[in-house]
Amino acid sequence: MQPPLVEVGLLFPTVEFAVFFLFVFVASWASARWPTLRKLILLAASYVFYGWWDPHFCLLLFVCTMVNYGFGLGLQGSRGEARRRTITTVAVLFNLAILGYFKYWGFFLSSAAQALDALHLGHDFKIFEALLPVGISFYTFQGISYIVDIYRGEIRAVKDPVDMLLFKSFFPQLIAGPIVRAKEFLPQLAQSFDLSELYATRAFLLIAMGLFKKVVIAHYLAVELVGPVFESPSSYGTIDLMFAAYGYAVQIYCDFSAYTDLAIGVALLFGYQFPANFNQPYRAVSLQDFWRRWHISLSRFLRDYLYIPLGGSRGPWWMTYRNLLLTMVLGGLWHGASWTFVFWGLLHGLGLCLEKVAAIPNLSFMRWPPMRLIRRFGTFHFVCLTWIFFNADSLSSATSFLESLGHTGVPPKIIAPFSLSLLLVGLGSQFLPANLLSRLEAGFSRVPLPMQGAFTALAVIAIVACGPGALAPFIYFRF
Amino acid sequence: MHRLLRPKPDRSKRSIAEVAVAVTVCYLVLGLCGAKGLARWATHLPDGELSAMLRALTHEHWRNASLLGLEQPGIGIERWFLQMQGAPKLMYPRSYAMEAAHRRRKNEQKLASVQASFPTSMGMEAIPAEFAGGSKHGPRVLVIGDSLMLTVGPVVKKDVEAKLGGLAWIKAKLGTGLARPDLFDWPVDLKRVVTATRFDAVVMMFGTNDSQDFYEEGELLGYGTEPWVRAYNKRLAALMSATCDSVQHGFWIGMPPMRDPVFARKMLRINAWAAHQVAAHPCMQYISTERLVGDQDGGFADYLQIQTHLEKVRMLDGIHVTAKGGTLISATLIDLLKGTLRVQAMVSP
Repeated sequence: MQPPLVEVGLLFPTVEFAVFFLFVFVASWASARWPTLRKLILLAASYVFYGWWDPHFCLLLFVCTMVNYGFGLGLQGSRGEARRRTITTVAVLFNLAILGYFKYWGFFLSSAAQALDALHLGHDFKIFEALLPVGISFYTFQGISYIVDIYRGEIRAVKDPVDMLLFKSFFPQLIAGPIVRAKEFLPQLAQSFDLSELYATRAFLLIAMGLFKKVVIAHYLAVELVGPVFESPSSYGTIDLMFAAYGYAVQIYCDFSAYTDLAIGVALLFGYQFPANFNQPYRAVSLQDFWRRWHISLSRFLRDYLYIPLGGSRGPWWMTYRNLLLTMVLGGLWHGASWTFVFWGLLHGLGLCLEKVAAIPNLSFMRWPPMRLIRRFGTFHFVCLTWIFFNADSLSSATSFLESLGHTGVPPKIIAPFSLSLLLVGLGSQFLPANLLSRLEAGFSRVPLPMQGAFTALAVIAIVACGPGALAPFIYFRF
Repeated sequence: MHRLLRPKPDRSKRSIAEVAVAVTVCYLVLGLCGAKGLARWATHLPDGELSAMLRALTHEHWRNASLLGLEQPGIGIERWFLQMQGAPKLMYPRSYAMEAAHRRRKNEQKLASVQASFPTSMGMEAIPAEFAGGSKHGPRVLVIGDSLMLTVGPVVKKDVEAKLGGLAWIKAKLGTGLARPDLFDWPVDLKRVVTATRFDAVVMMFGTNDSQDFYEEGELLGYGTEPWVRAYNKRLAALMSATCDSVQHGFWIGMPPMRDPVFARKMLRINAWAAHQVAAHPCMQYISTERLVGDQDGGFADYLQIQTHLEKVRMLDGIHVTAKGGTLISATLIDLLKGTLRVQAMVSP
C-alpha cells in the first residue's frame, strides 16, 4: 500500500516556477562574490521550494540532513575500524528507517494482514497512513552514499553545515533526482565560482528539450493512449494494448528524462553540474546495457552500495545470481511500496541472470550487426513487458493486461495518427546520434547569447502552445 | 600566422553578465509573446487584492500584446497542434476585441441552433406537483442528465408513463455534467432531491461536457491526467452513492458513439470509468448504448436499419440522439426497469 502523496507543489513547467527561478537566479548571482551568502540564498530557496509541497516536510529534511552531518563528522573523527563500521551501520540504518517508516510501513503491515488473512489468522493492524514526503527516496539515498563514501575514504566529512544542507536540499535535484553524490557536488560548493564559466547554451537546450518531452510527448501519450488502455485493458484488443505498452515505455522515458533535463539545465544556470541520468536507454542491446543507460544515478547507486557490498560477482556463481536478484528486487521496491514494483524488479533480476547464464554479450556472433538489431528488439520488448507491471495498479491488473493481449479479434479503438506520431518521435529520439546534444550545443553557441535567450523563449512559447491547460506531476515524484 | 595559432575560444562557457542578459531577454520575450498564458494563469489565482491587481494587469497586457500581434506565432502553433490532434478548429481573430466579439457571436449562434432543436433545460425548478403526494401507483423515476438527456429523457418519460404506468421527472440541463459543479452541482442536487422525495429508480446520463480541465480543492487539474481521473471518479462515486443511499435502483446510461474520433475516444473513457463505478455500487446498473445507437462494432452511425427502414438516430452534430435514437435507448431501459421492479414486487410482501 503506497502512502498518499501531496500533489500540490512547485512544478518546473509552471509560471510559478518561472517567477521563483527568476528571483533566485538574480539573488544568487548578485551575491556571487560572497560564497556563504550565495549558499544561504540557494539554501533558503531550496527549502521554500520543498516547503511549497508541505512545510512539515522541511523539518524532516532538515533533521535527516543534520543527523547525517553529525554521523559524517563522527565517522571522520573515529579511528578504529570496528567503531567506524558501527557508525556507518547506524547511519545507514537511520536513513533506511526514515525511508521505511514513511514509505513502506503501511505496505508491510497490509501485506502481513493479507498473509495472516489467507491463513485464517486474520489480524486487524492499525495502519498508520503518513503522507509520503516527496523526494524522500532520493535524499535518503544521498544520505547513505555520503556516509558510505566517508567510510570508504572517498570523501572527507563536510565541516560547514550550510554545505551539507545545500547538498541534500538543492532544489533542482531534490524531488526526483538525479541522485547526486557527495563527491560530485560538495567539491563544486567548495571551489570559488568562476563567473566566466557558465554552460548557458547547454542549459537552454536542456530546458527546451525537457519541456517538450514532458509537456508534449509524455502528457499526450498518457492522456490519449496509455491512461485509457491501462485503466480498462479488457475493453481493448491486441493492437491497442501493444501500442499502449510501447506508449508507456516512451511516456515514462520522456517524463523522467524531462525532469532530469530540466534539473540539469536549471542547475547549470546556477553554475553547478549534475551527472547525466539517461543515455538513449531503448537502444540498449541487453538488459545490462539498458541499466547502464536508464536512471544511471540509481543504477550506479545500486551497484556501488548494494550489489558490490553484497559480494558482487566475486563469489561462487549462485551468489552472483542471488546478489543480482536481491539488488533488482530492492531496486524495484525503492520505486514504490507495491508488489507490482517488486515483481518488476524481480523480472529485471531474472532477465539479468539469464543474460549472465547464457553469457549473451560475450558471444562473438552476437556482435554481428543484424544480431545486434535482434538483441535491441528483444531487450526493448522485454523492458516493455516489465513496464506493464510497473504501471499497473496491482498484479491482477497487470495479469488482466497480459491476458487481454490475446484479444486478437477486437479492432483497434484508441490508436490515432496523433498518438502514433508522438510514439514514433519518442522512440526515434533513441536512435539519433549519441552526441547530438553536444553538436547542437556547438551550433547554437555560435548564436549570440541574448539571441539564444530569445530563441529559448520562443521555443518555450511554442511548446506551451502545444501543451494542455494543466500538467500532471512527474511520474517519479511519487517515488 | 599568429592568429591561426591562437586557441579557439570555448563558446560553450559564458560569463555571468552574458547569461544574465540572455535570461532577461528570455523572460522579456516570454512575457511579450506569452501574454495570453500569463492572463490565463492569473485567472486561476485565489481571490484577493493582490491577485485582482495581477489579473487586471495581465489582462491589460494581454490586450496590448494581442493588438500588437505579438501572440500570433503562439496562436498559430496552438491552432496547428489542435488540428493535428483532430480537435475542432479554434478561431483566433487578429485582436483581443475581435476575438471577444467573435466568441460572443459564435456562442449566440450555437445557443440559437441548440435551442431550436431542444430546450436548454427541463424540470430544473421545484419538484413537480404529481411527485409531491404518494398516491399514484407504478414506479416513480427520476431522470437526470446533460443535453443528451434533454433528447433521450422525454422518450423515457413517455415510456415510463405508458408502459409502466408510473411517473417520471426529467431534470436535465444543457452544458452541465460532473466537471463543472460551479455551473450545476449534480451530486449535491441529487442528494437533496432523493432525500426530499421518494423515487423507485434514478436514471442518469452524463459525460458530454466532462472532457475538460477542472478545479478540485483550488487546484486546476488537466483533463485525463491521473489526479483528474481520480477526482472525476470521486465525483462519479458521489453521484452514485447519493443514489444508492436513498433509492433502490440506479441506471447509468453510457455515452453513445460519437462522430468525431477524438471526442469518441474521450467518451469511451468516460464510459469505462462510469462502468467501473457502477460495479462498485450495488444499486446501480450500466446500460451500454454503443450497440443500441451505433453500428455492429459499436461505432458511430447516423442511420440504422430498423426492420425494413433506415432510421436517423443521431442529430446533425454527431453527438445528440434523435427521438428515434432515444426510443432505442429507452426500450432497453424500460425492459430493465420492468425486470427489476417486477422482481421487487414479487419479493416484497
